[in-house]
Amino acid sequence: MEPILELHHLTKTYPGFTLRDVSFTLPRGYIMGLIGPNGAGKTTIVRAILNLLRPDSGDIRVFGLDHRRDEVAVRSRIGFVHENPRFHETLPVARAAAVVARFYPTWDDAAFRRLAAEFSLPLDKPVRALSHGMRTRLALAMALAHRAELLVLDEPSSGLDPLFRRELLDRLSGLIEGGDTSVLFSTHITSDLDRIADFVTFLQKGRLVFSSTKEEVLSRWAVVKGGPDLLTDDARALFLGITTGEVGFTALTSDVDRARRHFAGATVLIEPATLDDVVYYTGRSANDELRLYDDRG
Amino acid sequence: MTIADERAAGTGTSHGVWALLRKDLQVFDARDAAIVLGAYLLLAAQIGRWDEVAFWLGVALAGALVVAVPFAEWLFDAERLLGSLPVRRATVVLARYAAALAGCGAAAVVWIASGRLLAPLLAPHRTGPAMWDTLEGVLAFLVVATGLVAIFLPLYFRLALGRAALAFGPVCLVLLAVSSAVVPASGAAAPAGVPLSPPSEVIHLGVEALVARAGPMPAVVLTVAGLCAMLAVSGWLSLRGFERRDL
Repeated sequence: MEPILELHHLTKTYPGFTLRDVSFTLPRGYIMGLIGPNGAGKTTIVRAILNLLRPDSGDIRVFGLDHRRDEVAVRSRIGFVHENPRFHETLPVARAAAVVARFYPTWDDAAFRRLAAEFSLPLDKPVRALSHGMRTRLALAMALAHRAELLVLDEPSSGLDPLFRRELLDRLSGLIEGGDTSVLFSTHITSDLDRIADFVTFLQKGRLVFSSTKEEVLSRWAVVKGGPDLLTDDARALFLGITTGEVGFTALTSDVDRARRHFAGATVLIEPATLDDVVYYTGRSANDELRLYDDRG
Repeated sequence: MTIADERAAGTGTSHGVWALLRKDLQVFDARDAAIVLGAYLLLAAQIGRWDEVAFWLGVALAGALVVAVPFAEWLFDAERLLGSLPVRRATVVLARYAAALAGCGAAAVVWIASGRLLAPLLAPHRTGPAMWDTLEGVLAFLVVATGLVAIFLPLYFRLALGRAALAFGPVCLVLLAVSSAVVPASGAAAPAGVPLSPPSEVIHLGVEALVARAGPMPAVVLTVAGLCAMLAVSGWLSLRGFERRDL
């Protein structure tokens, strides 16, 4: 699979936060979900890819090009939708698009107008009159109008109504069908990724927990529920996050086969984990000690 | 992609500068220009009889025009949008200097034109030429306005607008203190015993001394060369600062 985006050992330190040694690869024609709780480092990665910030170390290659040295070539092929899209507020929508269009040699004005009509964007209204959802539609229409090969979406579905959120996800699924476009979708709404993601990269407190295919994650990670007497020290070692109650425990494991062997013959319920479970339970474990899941193993 | 490839693709430096300048112009409309010009003329009609005050009003207009685009970007939080466009940071710096210098030129034109328009009404008994009618006055205006650009933009590119605005005042005060010391020391001081007043006079005295010593044309050439050198250093600092700043 041809890699379209490669991060190698990316590290960036801010006061009070460090993105530590993050590496992952997104192949062409796939959707990768970048998940993690707020403050995990998702936006830092997105900004680094767009060369909006300087990493302390590591390198990023997009379309096989160095994202700093070839920043113009790289950015002209990337479409970016920010969590809170901002434009020059006084400009009418059509003029705001015309301002951006000038920077992209591949801009397709007919495509933009078609998308604007599909998204019900009022071309003559000033941007300041648009709701948050409409701004996201505008940003997406702009990203698609210049035929971006890589769409980078930073929490685009936050604050969207359910109807357009669904439309957005369907459109992203449709985009990759041709095999030329790839999507990096940063979100903390994991249910979005359950629907569309091919790959999932999970960050926790600036560290990469895993980056692999969604199927692999969902087949290896599981939620285990059992009585309190089963929660021995050996059992605890299997889990990344545990909640306990009077009637028993619920815990997340990243090695379902090992958990099945350990609890063979015991009365436990082992269910496939959802991405939401993964974020929730690893978030709980992060309060004590973050155990990293070794994707290579 | 090589520079030639970028040009062929329409994303070269000159294309980027023009696209950025057109973007800057599109952010403002005729109503914004009318408000700024109206406010300027209103103020000039009140205080324009004093050359020094009119001079600084013109410089303030230049400052407003230089800051207008960064202010609009800060106001609309559009800096990240700008940063995500396919242009090099060097191109952004170049375009902002071009816009700032165009703003200074426009302010100089407004200062001279309004001075000529209003002076007969405000100061009908004037003896001698007004500042805006002398080579020394115009050069002094350009030196001050360009100097402000050369100081402000590196601070803006390194620190962003908010912190740059805070740093700008102290930096200017230090430079004025230095120039107040340097100009008298170079022999361009006012007559002995006459204290130097407003800072513009320091610059004006320096330019007058230069014109008197070198003659008008060489003084223009030397001043322009000096300004170009100052802008080159300023641009280099801006680029260094901007490339190190996280957006």
